[in-house]
Amino acid sequence: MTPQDRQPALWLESLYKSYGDVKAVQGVSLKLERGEIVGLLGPNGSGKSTTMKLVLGILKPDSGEVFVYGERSADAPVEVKKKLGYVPESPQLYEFLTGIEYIDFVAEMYGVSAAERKERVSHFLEGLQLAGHENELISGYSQGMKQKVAIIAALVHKPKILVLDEALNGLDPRSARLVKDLLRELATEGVSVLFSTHVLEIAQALCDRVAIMYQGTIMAEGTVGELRQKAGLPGSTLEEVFLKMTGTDDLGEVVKELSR
Amino acid sequence: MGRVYSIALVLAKSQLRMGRSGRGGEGVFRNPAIIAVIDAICFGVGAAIGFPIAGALLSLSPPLRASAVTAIVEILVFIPALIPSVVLVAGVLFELSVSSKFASSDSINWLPVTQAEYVAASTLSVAYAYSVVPSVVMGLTLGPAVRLGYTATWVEMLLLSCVSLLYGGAIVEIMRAAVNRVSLAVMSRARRGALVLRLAATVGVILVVEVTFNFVFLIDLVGKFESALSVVAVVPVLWASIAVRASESGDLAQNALFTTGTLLFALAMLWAAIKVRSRYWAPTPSQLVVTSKGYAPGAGVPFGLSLFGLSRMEATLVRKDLKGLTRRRELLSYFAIPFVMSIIFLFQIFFNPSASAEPSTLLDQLPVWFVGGLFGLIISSISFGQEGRSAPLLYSLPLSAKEVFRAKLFTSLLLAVTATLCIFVVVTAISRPAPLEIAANLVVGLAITVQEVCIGTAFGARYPDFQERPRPRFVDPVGIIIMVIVGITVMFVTALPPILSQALSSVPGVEPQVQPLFLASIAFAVAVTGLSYGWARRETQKLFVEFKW
Repeated sequence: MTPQDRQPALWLESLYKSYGDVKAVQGVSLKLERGEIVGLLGPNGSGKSTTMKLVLGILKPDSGEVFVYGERSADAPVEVKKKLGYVPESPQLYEFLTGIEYIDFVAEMYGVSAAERKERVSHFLEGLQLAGHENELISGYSQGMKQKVAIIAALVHKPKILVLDEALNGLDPRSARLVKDLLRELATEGVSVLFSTHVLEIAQALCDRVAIMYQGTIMAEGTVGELRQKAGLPGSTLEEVFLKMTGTDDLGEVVKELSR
Repeated sequence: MGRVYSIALVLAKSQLRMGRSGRGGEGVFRNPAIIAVIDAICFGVGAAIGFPIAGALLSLSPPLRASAVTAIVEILVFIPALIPSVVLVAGVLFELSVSSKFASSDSINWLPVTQAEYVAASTLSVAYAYSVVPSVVMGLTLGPAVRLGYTATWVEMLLLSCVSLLYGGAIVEIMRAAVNRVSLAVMSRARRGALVLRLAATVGVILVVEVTFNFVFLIDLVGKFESALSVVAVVPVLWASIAVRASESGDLAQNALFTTGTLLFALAMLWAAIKVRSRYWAPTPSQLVVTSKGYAPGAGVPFGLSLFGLSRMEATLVRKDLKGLTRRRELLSYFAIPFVMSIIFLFQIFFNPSASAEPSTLLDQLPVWFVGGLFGLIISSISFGQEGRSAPLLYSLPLSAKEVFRAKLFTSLLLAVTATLCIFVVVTAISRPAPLEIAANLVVGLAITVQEVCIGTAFGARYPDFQERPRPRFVDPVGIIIMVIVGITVMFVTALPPILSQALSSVPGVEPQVQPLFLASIAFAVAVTGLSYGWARRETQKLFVEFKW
C-alpha cells in the first residue's frame, strides 16, 4: 500500500471563502474516507453549496486547500475533476440539447468509451424512467426529469467521489429511493459521497457521518449517535438535534406570532 | 394609463437592474430616471458640440455655406426616418434575445394584464431605453438649426422623431410576437428538421421586417426612381421626413397631411402590435423530439474537426456550441445580422444601373470585408456569455482553459469564415472583378474576419455576462461599447489601404500601387490577430480560475 492509498478520498483543510463582506465559508475542515457517505446539513445560507463548489473548483478558496486522493486540487485541477461527479443544486443544464445529447456530452468530456457509455446510459435511463424521453429537448423537461439527467451525468463516468448538492430535490418517491439505494451500493464499492440535504430523515437514513454547518463553519460533526450525545438529546431525532444545535428550536413562538 | 405606466416602469427597471451578479445595477443606476438624466446629458453634450460647429459653418464662404445649409436640412429631414431603423437593429440584438426558458414563467403571463396594456407598456419601455440615440442627434442638430434659421423645422423634427421612436418600439413588439409565432408553429408541426426550419423562418421574419423598415435601404430604393415624391409618398416610414421637408419649404398643407399620416401610422403600428401579440403570443415551450433514432454514443461528433488540430473534447465542445447557436431562440436573431447587412450592401451593387457597363470597384467588395468581420466580431463576443447559468458545468468538467478557448475560437471562426465566403461568392458573381482583385479581396476579407473573431473572443472572455433574466446579454454593456469601437476602428484601418488606393486612382495623374497597399492591409490584420489572439487566450485563462456570478 502506497502512502497515497492511505490518504482520505477527500480532505478539506481550513477553507475560507468570502463574497465581498459576506463570509460564506470560515475555516471548514472535513475528511471523507473511501466508501463513506457524509451528509452536510445546515440552514439556508450556511455555506454548504459554497463548500461544494470549492471542492469542485468552480470557486477558488481565499485560503485553505482541497485534497482529492492525496492530490492537491489546485495543482492538477483537470485530473482531480476526473475523479469527481457533481449534481448541483437546481441543475442548470444545456436546455438546447436533448437529454441523451447532454449525457453524451458530459460522458465525452470524461472520456468514457462508447461501449461503456451505451451500456451504462441505457441502464440509467430505464432505472430512472427516462427511457422514451431521452430524445426530447431538455427545455421541455420537468424539474424532476432535469434532476434525473443531472444525476445520470454525474454517475456516467464512475466517479470515485460524488458531490451531491440537494440531489434528491424534485425526484418522485421511486426515483429518490432508487438513488438512495444506488448511493449505498456505490459506497460499498468504495465511492465516497458528500451529500447536502435539508431533508433530515434522508441524512439520518443514508449518511455514515453528518457535519452540521452554521454561518460558514462546521459546528458539529460525527455519527447521528455522536451528535445526539453532543446535543445532550439521547434518543431524539436528527431534526431535534439539528434545531437545537443551530439555535432554531424556539419555533413555537414564531408559529404563534405568524398565526395571529 | 396608470397600469401601463406601472408595467413600463417595471420593464424599464428590469432593463437597468440585470447584471452578472444578479443583484442589479448599483446606486442611481437602479432608478429608471437615470435614462432621462443620461438623455439630458447627451442632449447637452450634443448641443455643446453642435453650436460651435454652427459658428464654424456661418464663417464659411457663401458657396460652401450654402452647401452646408443644404446638408443640415437633409440631416434634419431624414432623422425621423432613421430612428426606427436604429430601434429595430437594437431590437433584434437586445430585445429578441429573451430566453424561451423564462418566457413561460414571466409573471406578465399570469397577471391580470391585457395584451393592449402590455404592448403599450413594452413599446414605451423600448422607446425609453433607446431614447439616448435621438437625444444625441437632437443635441447635435440644435445649434446648426437655430444658428442657420431652421428652428421651426428642428422642433417639427423633434416631435416627429419622438413619434418615430414610439412606432419603432411598436414594430419591435410586432417582430417579437411574429418570431415567437413562427418558432412555435414550426416546432409544433415539423418533427425532424424543425430546428433548422425554425432558424430559417426566424431569420426570414427578421430579415423582412428589418429591410422593410430600414432607412438606408428605403432611401436607396427611392433614389433609384426618377419621380421620388410619388414613391416616397407610399412609404410610411418616410412620411415624417416629407413632413419635415414641407415644414422647411413652408408647404403647410403637405406638412399637415404627412404629419397626420405619421401619427396615424404610429397608431396603426401600435394597433397591429396589440393584434399580433393577442393572436400569436403563446409562451408555452413546445416539446420537441429531435430524433427517433436509438442512442449511439458520440454519434455526430464532427471528428473531421481533428483535421483542424482539435482534440476529441474540443470537437465535442464545438458541436455543443453549434447546436446552441442554431437551437436557442434567443441566439437565432444573431444569424439575421449578415443577411440584413448583405442585402443592403448588395442592393447597391445589384441595382446600380451602370453595374453592367462599368468595371467593378473595390468599394463593391465592402460587404466581403465588413459583413463577415462584423458578424465575426458579434458572434465571437457572445461565445463565453452564451453559456449562461450552465457555465458552472464547464468549470466542474475536466477541461482546461486552453481547450475551452480553442473550441470557442474555432466555433466563431467556422461561422464567420463561412459567412464571409458565402458573401464573397455572391459579390464576386454580381460585381465580376478582375481575377487578381478576386484573390486580393478574398484574402483581405478573410484577414479582417479572423482579426475580428480574435478581438470578439478577447472581449467575450474579458467581459462575459452569464445572466439570463430578464434576457441574456452575453457581454457586459461596457465591454460591448469598447468592443464595437475597437472592432470597427480596427476593421476600417485594415481596409483603409485598399480604399485609399481606390480613392487615389480617381485622381488624375495618380496611379497607386495596389499590391503594396493590399499587403499593408494584410500585415496590419496579421499583427492585430496575433495581439488579440494572445489577449483572448490570457483572458480565458483568467476567466477559468474561478466562476464569477
